[in-house]
Order: sequence, then structure tokens, then C-alpha cells
Amino acid sequence: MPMKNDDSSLESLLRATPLREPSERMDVRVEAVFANHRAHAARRSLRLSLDRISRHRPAIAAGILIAIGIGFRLSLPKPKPPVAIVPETVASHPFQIEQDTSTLYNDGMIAGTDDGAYLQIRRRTVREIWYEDPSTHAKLQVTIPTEQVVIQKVEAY
Amino acid sequence: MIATIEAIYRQHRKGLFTLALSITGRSESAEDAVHEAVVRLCRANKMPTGDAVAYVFAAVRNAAVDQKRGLGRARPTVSIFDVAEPSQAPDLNLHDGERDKMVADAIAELPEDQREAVVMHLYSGLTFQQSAEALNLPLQTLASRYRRALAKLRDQLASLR
Repeated sequence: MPMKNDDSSLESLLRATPLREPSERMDVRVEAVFANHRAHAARRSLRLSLDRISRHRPAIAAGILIAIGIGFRLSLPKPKPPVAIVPETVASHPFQIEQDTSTLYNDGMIAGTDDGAYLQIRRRTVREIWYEDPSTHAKLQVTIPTEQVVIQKVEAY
Repeated sequence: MIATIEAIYRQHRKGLFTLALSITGRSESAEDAVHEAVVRLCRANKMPTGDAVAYVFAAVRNAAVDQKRGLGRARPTVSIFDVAEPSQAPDLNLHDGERDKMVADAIAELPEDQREAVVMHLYSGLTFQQSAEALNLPLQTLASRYRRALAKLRDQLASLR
């Protein structure tokens, strides 16, 4: 930049000289240009809007009808929500019935050693439990399968 | 865009007029140039790619050059300074009047390109970057023109400092 310390005082001296002012007439003329342009822009914007409206007239008509319909619907009294009727219940202890059903499976000899053999036996059990509420007679059934594996040494004769 | 031009005009109206006046040398032509530039800018209605202030100043400069061309060889009648002759303003400090006249004369004697650089930076309030952009010059070229102008002014106004 051409700015040096010595230049600062010279620039101050130059700036101190008063400048000629533009007349008010210039401001009036320029402001008139801006005002004219703003008015022109507003007219153009309005014209564009009207063009758009005429181009989309059916859609706008449909929109107005929908809006009127929504307004009418909103003006109607709102229906009261239904009141849920819950029967009064008395707490009671449910009774339960259990039943175990077991089946044995003999898988035979699964291993053999010098001093004997090993026999595998499986027991599959299905436990079924029924719960029942004595007051409402509501029923609930639960099934629990289990498997038990037993390996038994068979002594050699 | 128009709002930007309006804002720039309101902020820099005096600077724009000073630039136009430094080119045309006539107040009416300078005001016509500013008006014409605003009309052109509003009609174009497009955002500049660079600095908006520099863009508006460039438009005023172009309009002022057109005005000057229209004036032909007519000599400039006024300078950019509002310098009162000491005899015309007896209540004014005599020394101030003489000093202002010396400054005005020194600037008037500068070559056109150097005077333009001084007017844009010192009297129109543009930065060097904006001035360079408005004149469509590299920054270094504008800076060297300004430096040369200051060197000449320093010599001519040595008695005042």
C-alpha cells in the first residue's frame, strides 16, 4: 500500500480542503428514479401474481372449497368421546392345576470301557400349568418342557 | 439489488458527485452523470460479481465520461473543491482560503489518471481495492499512480507543511 507515515500529514491537508456539495435537485432526481423503479417492480409483481392466479384458477377454486369445507367442519360441535365402561372386578387368588407328562428314551450304549459300558437315558417332561380366576373364569395355560439326561454305568457280567 | 444501490447512493452521494465532477468539470453534467448511472443500474437490475460500491462508482464514472464526451472541447468551469476566493469571503480566514486554493490548483495540475486515483481514495472515500475495481485496474497500478500523485503534491504544497 502506498501509505507511509510521511504521507499521513499530506493526506490530512488534502482532506481538509472543502468539497463542493451536490445540489438537492440531484437527490430529488435520483430518489424519483428509485421510487419509479419500486412502483414498476410492485406493478410487475402484481401482474405476475394475477397471471399465476389465472393460470391456476381451477386449483385455487378447489383449494377455496376445501378451505370452506374445513372451516365448516371445524365450526361443528365436537362429538364427545365415548366413555369406557369397565366392569368392576374383585381381586381374588387364581387356582392352578399342574400336570407333568414324562417320556423316557433309551438311547442305548453310548460308550464302552474295559470295566463296563455307559447307557444314556433321556427323560423328557412337559409340565402344563392351568391358572383360572374363580371370579371371572379367565384361564391361562403355561407349558414348560424340560429334558433330563442320565448316563448310567452298566456293570459287565 | 435496488435496495443495495439506494443504500450505496445515500452513503456515497457526495463521493459519487465528486468523482463525476472531477471528470466532467461541470456541476450540472456531474449531477446528470450520477442520475444517468442510477437509471442504468436500476434498468440492469443485476447484482455485481465483485464489490457493490465499486460497481456503482464504476457506473457513475462511465456515465461521467459519456457526459464529458458530449461536452466536446468545452473547458471545465468548476473544480471539485468549494474554494472561496479570499476577496469574495472577507470573513473567512485569509490563510485557509489561500491554502485551499493551492490544494485545488495542485490537484487540478495532476495528470488525469493520478488525479482520478487521488479523488477516488481521498475524496470519494473508497479503499484502494474498491478504487482499483471501479477503474478496472490492478491494485498495484492504482497504488503506484496514487504514490506518484502524492509525491507531486508533496513538492507543490511543501510551503504549506
